[in-house]
Amino acid sequence: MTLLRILATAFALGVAALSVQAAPLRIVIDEGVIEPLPFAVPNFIAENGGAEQYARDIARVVAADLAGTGLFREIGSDAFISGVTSFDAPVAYNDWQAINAQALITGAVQASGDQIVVKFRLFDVFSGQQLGEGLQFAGTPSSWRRMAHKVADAAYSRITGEGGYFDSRVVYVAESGPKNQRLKRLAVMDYDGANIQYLTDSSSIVLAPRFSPTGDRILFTSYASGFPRIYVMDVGSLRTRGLDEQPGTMTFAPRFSPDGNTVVFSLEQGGNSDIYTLDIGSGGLRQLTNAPSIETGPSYSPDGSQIVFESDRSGTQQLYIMSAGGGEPRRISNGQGRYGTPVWSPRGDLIAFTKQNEGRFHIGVMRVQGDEERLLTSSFLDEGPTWAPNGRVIMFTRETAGASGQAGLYSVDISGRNLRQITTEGAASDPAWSPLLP
Amino acid sequence: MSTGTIISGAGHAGLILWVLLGDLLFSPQPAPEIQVASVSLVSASQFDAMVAAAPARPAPAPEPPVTPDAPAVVAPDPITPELPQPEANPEPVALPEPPPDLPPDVPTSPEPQPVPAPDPVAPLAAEEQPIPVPTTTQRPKPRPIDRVAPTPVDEIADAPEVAETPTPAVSDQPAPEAEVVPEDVPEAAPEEAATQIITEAVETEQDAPQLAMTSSRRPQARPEPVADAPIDDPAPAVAEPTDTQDVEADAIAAALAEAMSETPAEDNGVQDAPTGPPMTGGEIDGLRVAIKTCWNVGALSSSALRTVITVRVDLAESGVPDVGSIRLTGFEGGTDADATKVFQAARSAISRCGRNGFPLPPEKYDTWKDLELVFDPNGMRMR
Amino acid sequence: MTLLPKAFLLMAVLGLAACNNPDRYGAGGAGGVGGPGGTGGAGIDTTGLGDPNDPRSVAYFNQTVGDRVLFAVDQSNLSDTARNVLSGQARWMTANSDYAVIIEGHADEQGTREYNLALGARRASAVQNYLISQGVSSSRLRTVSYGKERPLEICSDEACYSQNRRAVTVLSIGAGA
Repeated sequence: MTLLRILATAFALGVAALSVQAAPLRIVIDEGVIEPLPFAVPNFIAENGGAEQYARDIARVVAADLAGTGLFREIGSDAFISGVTSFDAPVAYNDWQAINAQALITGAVQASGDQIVVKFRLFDVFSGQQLGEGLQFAGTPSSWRRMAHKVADAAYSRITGEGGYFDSRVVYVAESGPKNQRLKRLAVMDYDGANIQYLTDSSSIVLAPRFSPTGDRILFTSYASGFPRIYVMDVGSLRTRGLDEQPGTMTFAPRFSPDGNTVVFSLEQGGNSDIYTLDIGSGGLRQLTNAPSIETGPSYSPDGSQIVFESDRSGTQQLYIMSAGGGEPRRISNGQGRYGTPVWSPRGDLIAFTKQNEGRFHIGVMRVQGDEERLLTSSFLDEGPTWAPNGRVIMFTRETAGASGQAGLYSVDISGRNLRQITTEGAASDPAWSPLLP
Repeated sequence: MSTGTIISGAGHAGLILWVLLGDLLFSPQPAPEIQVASVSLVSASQFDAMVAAAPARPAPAPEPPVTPDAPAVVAPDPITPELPQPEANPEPVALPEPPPDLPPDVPTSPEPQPVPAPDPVAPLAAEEQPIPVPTTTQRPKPRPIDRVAPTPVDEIADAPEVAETPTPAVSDQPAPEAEVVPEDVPEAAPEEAATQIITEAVETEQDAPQLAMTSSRRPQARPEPVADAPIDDPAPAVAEPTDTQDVEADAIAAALAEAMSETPAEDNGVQDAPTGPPMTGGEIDGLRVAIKTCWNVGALSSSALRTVITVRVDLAESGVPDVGSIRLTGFEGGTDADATKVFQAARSAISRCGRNGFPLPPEKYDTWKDLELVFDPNGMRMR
Repeated sequence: MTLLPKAFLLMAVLGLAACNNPDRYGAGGAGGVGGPGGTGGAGIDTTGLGDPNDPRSVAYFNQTVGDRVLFAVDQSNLSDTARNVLSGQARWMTANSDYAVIIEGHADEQGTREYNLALGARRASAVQNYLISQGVSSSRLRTVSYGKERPLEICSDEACYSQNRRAVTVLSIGAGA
């Protein structure tokens, strides 16, 4: 009889359970949810007169930074049950729990003439405790946005464990005019589009600017001499000088090495482009590739030991890695389509690239061995990825089709989520992210 | 007589009674087809029947706010505000009719993908069985939705309105009588969710890789008869047990409970085994669902998502976790910092979803008062 | 000819030699007024290019001989049509040896920026090599690539793309670099 068998088994198991040593009930949770973490940033407290505007604005920038990552969702102040009236007052956790604010940032600002001081605290609401220590920043009033970004960076990294990236700049090419008569000039802005500063005029075509590892210089390609040539500009003084003047050649696609002393670039001669390095101090030139194919788009690994680049030596554009001193390259791209503009992540784990396949462009990432290729975007024309300082977000150029097509800057998380446009004054292309500002 | 002999005798008595009277009172009933959702109902109604004499849950005690530290640059001076201590909770009062006990986060909508009706006499699976998902267009393409959850939730036209905030908790003021969530508050429907992150590249590919659920996280089709047999009626699928079955079940339950309750009184220096009856699969899954719905891994870095952590927590009889007892007891696969981040998210999940108590049977309190939870985020990487 | 007109002509030639502006696509670039290096890139300033019916004029070169050749997608090899055009160019250049030549290579927008720069350079170089093989002195020839920066046609389909995949031979007064 089935029932008897079942009961007998049940009884046996029951007896067996009793003789087992005591153990807590063990449950494996191997699934969760992925959703933006709700947080609240009440207006910072103005601790003296003249700080009210800063207090409000800084809180707004902090909230926009976090919400802009796509990993956080702001709970607006109209939902608050209680507010924050003093920076040192104890936190009414229940009020924040009731509106499901899982993270809370409180802050205060003091303004006095030529200096403002910003301090903040971060709270893990449902555990009822502060997360990390409070911090305080001081600076000139005009750098209030940078201080807001630093607050957001601290909150972001304490919650996610990633490095921050909000206090950073982006250099890019500001464009205007129709497609067949484009005017281009260099510009630099905060990563979120604020504080735009133009570095050149539109008198000659400029392309693909890149920051130095310390953010103090910019490499770019310009037609000022009538031919594509690489130049280096000092960001502070805007003084510019050309590199590698060799008649009958064209130089382009420059990038700094991680120690800032070497520039790797493409040099074209007689129709053939190869990769060279130039020692900035000594001016020494060195050829790294020697092939009749096109070699361009070089990018150093963060430790400076390797270079990834694109080459069509196999017949189509593909990605290759070679040691920084030259040597036999090995191919890492192996999907269908053409691969270009490789850029090594500052974390060293991934390489971002542009892929063309069946008439569409994609921004993608792959691991350094070439495996785990993932495409993050898809459109008529996406190209030229650049990494945020924490290696988690990528910015790139997207151009729309047709006679009235225009270029714009977009960013996307490496999971492929949170694709969003960066607001610029007019059209823009060729972004390059600076390191995190000190 | 030793403890073991008492229990053994009681068990034998129950077994004998069952064998003697089984044929007379119970006729074999065909197991009806079961909706997955109704499994929760089944265990809930059994739970209700068994909890009739059990104490209801008191209101959670408000925690005194933690004193914040001063900013690092300024010399730290801990601030201790004067706060009135909350009154101690009164004794819980037994309610004649316990409120419906569905964990509000369990989706009540039918699964979007067609699932074959469970085999009524399916053998117990030691592991989760893969559920075949048809690759035809019948399966709705996942839309880009902000929230990724294990079970996809589509917009439901006539679902209870989605609450922006979770259903408000019981008032923090200590109430003269323990009152649980008032019944007229609409349950918050689960927010829209998809099973995978939808990126542009996935959207535009015709053959986008559909991450099919390869195993079911739902409770099994029938509660394990093994665990339930001594107490539950032998046809667990029936939603409404008949009166006669109830009487028998109660009698057996009473007999066993008596025997069990004598056990804690004897302290022979050995820690008690989870002396309550073992948890049913449905109850364990209910707890798992309750925790994982709050476990938000969206903000974790990729290295943190490779780290598996083990967490211990003590629960009160009400099912509310003691937040202070949540502790990390081990981790592997990542660095210290990674483990801390996963622990932060896990701790938040436990305290958030446990605020009003987890859906756990009070009479099995000894089984679940001490939880060891293993959080493994590997399956959520690059979802 | 008497001495004075000769001298005058010589000075005029020398004066105009400075009007060789390879970057004629720069906005506000110092293109010689009325010179072949006109301002703006949409079209070449035809004033000063001479009468198209005069076989020695630049206008004749551009319109009758043909100043451009087209390429297939991602290719830099010359088609038979291209070779014919280039042979005609070579003959004209040999006959009018006081012109310097800049060969511009272009690509369509279906590619990434730096690769297209290199591809344009390849195309210009292919034209240059062919002209040299047809007897044009290499000292008269220079190449530059504009990649995809200066398309002629701006609709985004093959009808326009095919016109943009080109190498343009631009003449300027001046006996070589």
